[in-house]
Amino acid sequence: MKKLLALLAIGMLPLTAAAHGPSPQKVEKTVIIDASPDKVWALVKDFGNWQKWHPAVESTKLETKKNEAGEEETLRLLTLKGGGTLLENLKSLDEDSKQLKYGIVEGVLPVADYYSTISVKAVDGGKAEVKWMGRFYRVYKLNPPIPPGQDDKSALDAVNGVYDAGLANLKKVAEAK
Amino acid sequence: MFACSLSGAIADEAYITNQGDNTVSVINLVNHQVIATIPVGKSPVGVATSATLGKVFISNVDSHSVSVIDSKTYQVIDTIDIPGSPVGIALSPDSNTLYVADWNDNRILVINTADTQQRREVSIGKAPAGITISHDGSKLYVANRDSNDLAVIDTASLKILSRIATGAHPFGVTLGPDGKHLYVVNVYENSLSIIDPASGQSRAIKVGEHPYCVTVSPDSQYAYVTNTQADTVSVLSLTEDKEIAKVRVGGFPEGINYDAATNRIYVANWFDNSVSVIDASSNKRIENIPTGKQSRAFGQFILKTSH
Repeated sequence: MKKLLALLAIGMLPLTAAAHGPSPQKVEKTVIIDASPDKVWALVKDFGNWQKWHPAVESTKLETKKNEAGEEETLRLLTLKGGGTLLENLKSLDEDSKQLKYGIVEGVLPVADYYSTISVKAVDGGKAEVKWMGRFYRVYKLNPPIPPGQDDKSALDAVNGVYDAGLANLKKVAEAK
Repeated sequence: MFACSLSGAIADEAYITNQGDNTVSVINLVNHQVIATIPVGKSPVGVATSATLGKVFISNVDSHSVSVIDSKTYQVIDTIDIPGSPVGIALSPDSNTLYVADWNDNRILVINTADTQQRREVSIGKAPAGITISHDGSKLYVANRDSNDLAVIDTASLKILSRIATGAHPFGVTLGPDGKHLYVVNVYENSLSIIDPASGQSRAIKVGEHPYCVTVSPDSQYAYVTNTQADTVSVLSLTEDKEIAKVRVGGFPEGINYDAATNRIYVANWFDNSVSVIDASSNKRIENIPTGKQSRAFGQFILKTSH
């Protein structure tokens, strides 16, 4: 947990619609949870309440706003333990495939153009498999030399940390009686 | 005494770049078998195929190079060093010239395929992404992602003839088989721009979330656009200017090509490490072919051997 917070503690980075480097990075993690897929999905799809299971999240402020195209968009402002915030937008929520898609608008993760899907499916024995995938770029978008903390490794370490800590605790919370 | 058998039938092949394991998967488009997996440079993205040369060119963005594959032996026979970050890649119709977009240095490298040391270059707009060439080879079209326009370049003089406004963040581009229109995908606008290069006039059709690449049917009646954040392909009627079907494919679909020989559409899925196959007559996904990690296949990735 301390390690995760250290990974996140690099300050606010505005993620505007600027250029990103040409190589997107990927993180993919899965966990098997000994709980019903419905129970796990209820936790995952509750976009405004990830503090119930993600150990890095202190609190969430949920809001609905019109985006540039004039469409209603659901946003959440996550306040992280140890300081820092993440503003994220809900891209879709599909009950049939139990999949939620979201992105980061701006925040403390050292990534650019972050997009993620998290889904729950039934596996044998009435258990649930949760798959969390992310696609993002490093912060520094130009040719080397790359400033420290803005390279591919920093981005990958941070997202790996978020997913590992989150899925481990989701399992703990969902498996609790 | 016919030497011809079904197994020996000539099939088109798809060359799929796998960014995550630095390989290219070669798929036989008749039986959908992966017939070769070829190690290339680091983080391969773009593909340009030439039946004339019997070669396939792969842009490796993180090793700053282009791998040249012999399409008969499935071996890398040459590696061309490229300064900067090669992404978009395309060949002239006669295969004599290779065009490589250098993303970070905002230029196009023009390389003689017979002697790759012979090069010219042209500076263009910001973050050149998709590139394509007119059927007569006289013009090069470049989607400048961060300038929100399409540059038209005279290939003889390397002069920029015009820059045509697109939507926000143009990425993939293709020329229709009839040669009349250019199709440009606007990532931040969820739309496809259809541009008449002769007049500079354009129109747009809505597509799905965060679109990337486009291909057009041989009769130039339909366009197919990958919607990366919807995991779908939009099928667009170009006579009615609207979406007529949405086909569910794999996660984060990127590169897309129409194979005229089989009337199927092939889509590389970055999240799912696979290629989805769509039947053009039914607009249904008929198969998913496992490839390598993080498949991209940006550009013209089908090697035509059947005509």
